[in-house]
Amino acid sequence: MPTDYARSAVNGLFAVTPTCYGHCKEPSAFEFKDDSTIVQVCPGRYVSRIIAYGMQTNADQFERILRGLVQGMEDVESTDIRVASRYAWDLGLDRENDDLIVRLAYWTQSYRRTRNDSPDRAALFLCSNKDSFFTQPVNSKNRFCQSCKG
Amino acid sequence: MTDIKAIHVVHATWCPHCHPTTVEPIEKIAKELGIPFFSYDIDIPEQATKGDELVRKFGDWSEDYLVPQVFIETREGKIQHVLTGYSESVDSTKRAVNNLLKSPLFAKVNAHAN
Repeated sequence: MPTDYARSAVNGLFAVTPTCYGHCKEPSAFEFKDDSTIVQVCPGRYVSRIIAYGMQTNADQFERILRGLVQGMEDVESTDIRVASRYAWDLGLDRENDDLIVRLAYWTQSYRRTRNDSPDRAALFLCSNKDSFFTQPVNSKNRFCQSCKG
Repeated sequence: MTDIKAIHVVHATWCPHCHPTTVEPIEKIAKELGIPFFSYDIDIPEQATKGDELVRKFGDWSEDYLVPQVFIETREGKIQHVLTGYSESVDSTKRAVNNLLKSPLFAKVNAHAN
């Protein structure tokens, strides 16, 4: 579990507006899915990234969590996971005796090994209504999973 | 805080988090401070071997790890990982590099140089 301090640092870290990657290039947002997972989604609900954070976060642990989240909808391998340590000095925090603040693990959809530029590819989206993932053709405008649509 | 003997950066030439966001400002400050600067391009095999070793032993290692990664080597011979690029945005990486260069880690080196 992340500490309150790590959570606060992460809130600041992800209070940015990145560009949607692999879909529309529109401004996207980081949404906190649960206590240790963040999803980068654009207005069309395409998932650019899924990120885990915590003091003990590591690639193996995140790979297991990610497989559970995407339920076979995405091809996930260990090589697709990248990790990063965030320290007091690069976050601009004044904490001399507590250098490591949080560890992050990143997964990016359709990146490097899994890169697919086909306009017909099946892609991962996050439902606007529920916090659940679903797949549909990457160019689809639908923002809801099957159960919310029905 | 320990003194810095050298700075090492693992990078890729195609990576906007590396160039001009990280490598150039770090190299500049190393030059200003008279500290040796070593860079390892992950796409040049002989440099990649050393870069991989640094990241595996001291950094944020994964099979296809993030770049840039910055390490400082202290006068006691210790190597310390101090920064990994911020995947969320190039601006975030830029801010982190600025923070690092203004941090107490570099403040002592700055003080010695002045």
